Amino acid sequence: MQMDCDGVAENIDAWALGALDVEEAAALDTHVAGCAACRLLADAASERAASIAMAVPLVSASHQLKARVMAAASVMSDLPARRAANASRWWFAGAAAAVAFGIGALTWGGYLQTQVSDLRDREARVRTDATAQSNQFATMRTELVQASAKNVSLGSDQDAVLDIVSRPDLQRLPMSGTNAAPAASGRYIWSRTGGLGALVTSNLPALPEGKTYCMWIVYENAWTRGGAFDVDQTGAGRLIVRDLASGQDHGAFRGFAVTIEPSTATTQHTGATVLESGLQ
Amino acid sequence: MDYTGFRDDELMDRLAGKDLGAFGALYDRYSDLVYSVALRVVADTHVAEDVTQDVFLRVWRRPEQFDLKRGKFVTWLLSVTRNRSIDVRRSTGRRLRREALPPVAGEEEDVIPSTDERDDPALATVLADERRAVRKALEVLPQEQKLAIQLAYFGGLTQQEIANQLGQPLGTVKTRIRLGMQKMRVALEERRGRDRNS
Repeated sequence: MQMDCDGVAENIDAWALGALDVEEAAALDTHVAGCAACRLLADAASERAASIAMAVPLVSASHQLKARVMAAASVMSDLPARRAANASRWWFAGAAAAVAFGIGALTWGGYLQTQVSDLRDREARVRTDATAQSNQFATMRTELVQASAKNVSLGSDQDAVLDIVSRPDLQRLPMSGTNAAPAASGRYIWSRTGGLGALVTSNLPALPEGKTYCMWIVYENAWTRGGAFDVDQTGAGRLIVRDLASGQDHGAFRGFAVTIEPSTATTQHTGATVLESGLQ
Repeated sequence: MDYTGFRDDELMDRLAGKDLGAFGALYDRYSDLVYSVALRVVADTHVAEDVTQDVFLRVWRRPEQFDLKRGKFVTWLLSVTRNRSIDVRRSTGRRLRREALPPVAGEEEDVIPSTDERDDPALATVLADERRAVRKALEVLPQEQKLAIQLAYFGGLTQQEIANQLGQPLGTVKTRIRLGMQKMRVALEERRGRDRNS
């Protein structure tokens, strides 16, 4: 479908109101992109259409909304160029986990199938064991898929921050340096129900070779790992925390901690705590 | 820093340098208007707050998307708000029903004084005048033209969908929208002409 200048003039108001169907709108867009005169018409029509919104009776937004928006903007300004890298890292981590899971699932599934096939020819008792093992595999698979989806679906740090600040139980907590890092400080905004948080630190000490900072969500019976991060020369670090253990029963929630851990992945905290909130 | 007297485009320039104070000033100036438009489209206070937040954070993240050469900041901001609200409305599967349309022109007054009146008296006068002019321009439209325009703008319906909803021929709806917008244009231009001469 094509549209000339007369067609644009006839349809420009409906276009500005968003009332053209997809095909008509695309034809008009194409023409306007290459016609300076019609572009002026389009800008004027857009402005006229947008002015309709000004006639709406004013209703006041809540004061809490401003606090949410300003907190989110503040955190976003702390997430500059690393955003894309972080986003792709999360995406890559999620994708890698999914691929690894897929390969593992195929291998494991094949192995199970062989096992069950052999066992079927032998005894009923062994068949029962195989079924139990299969059920266990199904449960494990579900958990892995959920964990993987939790990582992948968030998409990017900015989306995660938006997600966090949209939660009704949003909290903003200061984090204090311990004796191991008295000059360090941090801020942590988080939603417990969402199992999501965003950490921003400053003045953390430079890390020794082979070490990284780890964020922990501390419960009475367990410390669950929120993620690892490095710091720049000023000790500034950032991390989007996804508490995959959220909703599991680890006892009462106690607070948050940042420790120094080996760079190799660890699920247990072993190093000194340098930042904490709520653990006194 | 006191941002009173700063033009919108000056505040937007400062957003490029991540000036949180300038962002707060823009928020104070327009949050009620943005929220009101979002509420009008999505008809849910919580969703309207989410849209408002989303719109302002988009402004914060991408201030360069505003182009002063193509129009005023407020109309750009309201376009972003309207489009975002319609997207959310569609994604949540809501459809604007005719009886659910809250009144716009001359049928209901503001329930609060506008934020701009609290923020900057000079700006408040300009904005209030502009809002009044648009309402008057809409008031004089025949009801059927006003309804077609509102269903398109706030309901996100195409002309065909409006025709289906109203049980009118497509050509009739097209004419109503075209004539209504033409009358609005004339009314707003006359008002601007009077302002220039006074």
